[in-house]
Amino acid sequence: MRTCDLALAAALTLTLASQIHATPTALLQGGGQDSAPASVILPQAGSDGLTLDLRDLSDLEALEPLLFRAALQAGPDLHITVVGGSARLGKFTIKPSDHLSGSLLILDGSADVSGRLDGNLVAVDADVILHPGAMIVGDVLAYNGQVHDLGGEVTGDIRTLSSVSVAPRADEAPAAPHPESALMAFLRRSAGLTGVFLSLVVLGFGVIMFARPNLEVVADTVSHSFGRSFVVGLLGEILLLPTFGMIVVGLFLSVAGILLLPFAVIVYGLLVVLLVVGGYLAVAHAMGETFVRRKMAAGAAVGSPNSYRYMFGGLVALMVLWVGWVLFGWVPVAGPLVQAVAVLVTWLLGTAGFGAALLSRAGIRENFTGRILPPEAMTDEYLWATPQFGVPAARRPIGRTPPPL
Amino acid sequence: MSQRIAALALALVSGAGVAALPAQTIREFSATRQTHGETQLRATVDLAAGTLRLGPGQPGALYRMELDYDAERFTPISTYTAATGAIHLGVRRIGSAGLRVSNKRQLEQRATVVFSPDVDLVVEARLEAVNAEMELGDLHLVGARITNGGSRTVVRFSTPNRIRCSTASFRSGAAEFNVYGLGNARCNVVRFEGGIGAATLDFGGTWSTDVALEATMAAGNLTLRLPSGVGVRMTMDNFLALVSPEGFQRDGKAYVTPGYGEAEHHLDIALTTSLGKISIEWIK
Repeated sequence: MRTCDLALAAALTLTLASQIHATPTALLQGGGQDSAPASVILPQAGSDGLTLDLRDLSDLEALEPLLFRAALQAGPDLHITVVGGSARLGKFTIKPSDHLSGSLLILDGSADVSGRLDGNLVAVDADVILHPGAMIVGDVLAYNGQVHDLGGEVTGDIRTLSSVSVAPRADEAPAAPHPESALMAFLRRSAGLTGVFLSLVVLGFGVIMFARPNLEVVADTVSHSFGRSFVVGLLGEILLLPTFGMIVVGLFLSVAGILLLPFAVIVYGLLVVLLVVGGYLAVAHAMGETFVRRKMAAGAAVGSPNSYRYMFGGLVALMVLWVGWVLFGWVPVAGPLVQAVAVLVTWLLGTAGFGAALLSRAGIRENFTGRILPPEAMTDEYLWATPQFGVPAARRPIGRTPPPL
Repeated sequence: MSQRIAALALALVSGAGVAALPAQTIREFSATRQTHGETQLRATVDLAAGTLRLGPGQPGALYRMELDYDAERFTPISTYTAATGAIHLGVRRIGSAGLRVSNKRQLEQRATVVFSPDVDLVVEARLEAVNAEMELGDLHLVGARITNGGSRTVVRFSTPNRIRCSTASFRSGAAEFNVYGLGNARCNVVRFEGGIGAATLDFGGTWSTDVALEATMAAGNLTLRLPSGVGVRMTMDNFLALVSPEGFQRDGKAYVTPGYGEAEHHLDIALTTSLGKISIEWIK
């Protein structure tokens, strides 16, 4: 009995299908199906339901969200309205004898075209196969599918667009950022600070070895005229770029100077680096010297007081704030605060060192070191009235910096 | 209890809450159109960042574009107007945000654009930070206008243009811009406008017409590669530019090659440069 029912149903289906295919200009509902699972005509949505206008496929920005929504909801229960056409779910075939009109939306299947369609064809999660003899008077769009043109004719554009969820290729995937623990941050910063400190020590010792007189003049300048050095350093920082621009323009305007321009740029850069780093090292030297002399004045035994000791001690003092940042940089508020203070103090001292280097012309001019006695100090009256040696001399108040000669 | 507190403190300290960055979404788009008796095509290609390959395609397709694009910042364009034979291809920015190259991956957009070799083609490419490789030989090229703001562009005419071309115009901002085989281009006028960077205009190839070159270089290096068999006449308007007109003879305010009048084909060059450097190389 069951076998008889199935055979009858199959016969009815075949009869209906043959009648539909025989119609030369059938409407979309009459499109043919082959032996694969039959496509389902999706019912139209209500006034507030999903509505697609497929008459213009060029505006993908507007069309895609609707196609994406349709792909997400694709199923027999989906209600969708295609303006001037229809929607189908599953594989759909347009046979050579078929002539369909209106826009056609195929969801979750494939469109096998051998006949004629007067309208746009959109396949969502589906491929479009254009067989020889196929004719589409309109555009074709395969959303998350391909168009296989085996010899069909399309009067409009053929477009394909991959779906949103295309992941980047595995070999191109970016490495996920590693969350850094406080311990790792501490170790990293410690290594960095140690490297900077050792580099400065090596540089400082090198400067002492090869340019000790100049370094001492700059150090004395920053020690004796700190305020003046800071102001000059600040002005120098402000005028760095304008000066550079003037040099470049000046060399350009003097035609022969164009050839010197690359050298001038390099020399200017080196000079700035030399003055900044040298000034900073001079500040370290001055700090170390002050510290050692105060200890000596207090009667403490300090070994041999020399420039290397001054430099090392000064650099250690300069690094103290940065050590605080290394230790507490991970603390939410205090860490950035310590870092800001360290940056500020370093900039302040660096600016003063830079200014001292400028004032002393890289350690050539001693005008602001406090070493030069004022002219009035060279008179016999001054020398007679002013104790130069012994306890009275030590108690004599230190005068202001003499004006430049 | 104290162990739990310590573990919690350690977790907080280690900053385990760092979120992963969202992955860039590269999407694929293609657009093509079959030929149906069209005789001309006016193509405009817009690409803000990435890599572009452009050249001749198969006769049956009027145009074809295959595109991998950054879906977070751009949307593809493919608009054909049958009445005017105009096609607009490429990408358009989403929203009003400008170009922001935040990482190298953002530049992984790729576009391949081909045009039918059988239709009269006017092509305009408006590129920004794009590495472009263009083959404009073996086309029916009527005119071309290529603009690249940054990065590198190479234009080749490896084989002769199938028809006469009126004007080929190239514009480079801060970029490297090289054009090879301009003799094959068969263009009456070649225009080049360079900002800073380096550019090469190679006039090699099979010459079949006289060419006028109007070149402007602001502050870059322009290398002219000139064929020795062609009569060349050059006028210069330069300010603080380094130009070495080797192989030329002075003729009033112009420089000409020996035998200019008797040469079968002529190249007339009008150079304008401010702070640039012009180099001339002779090719056989």
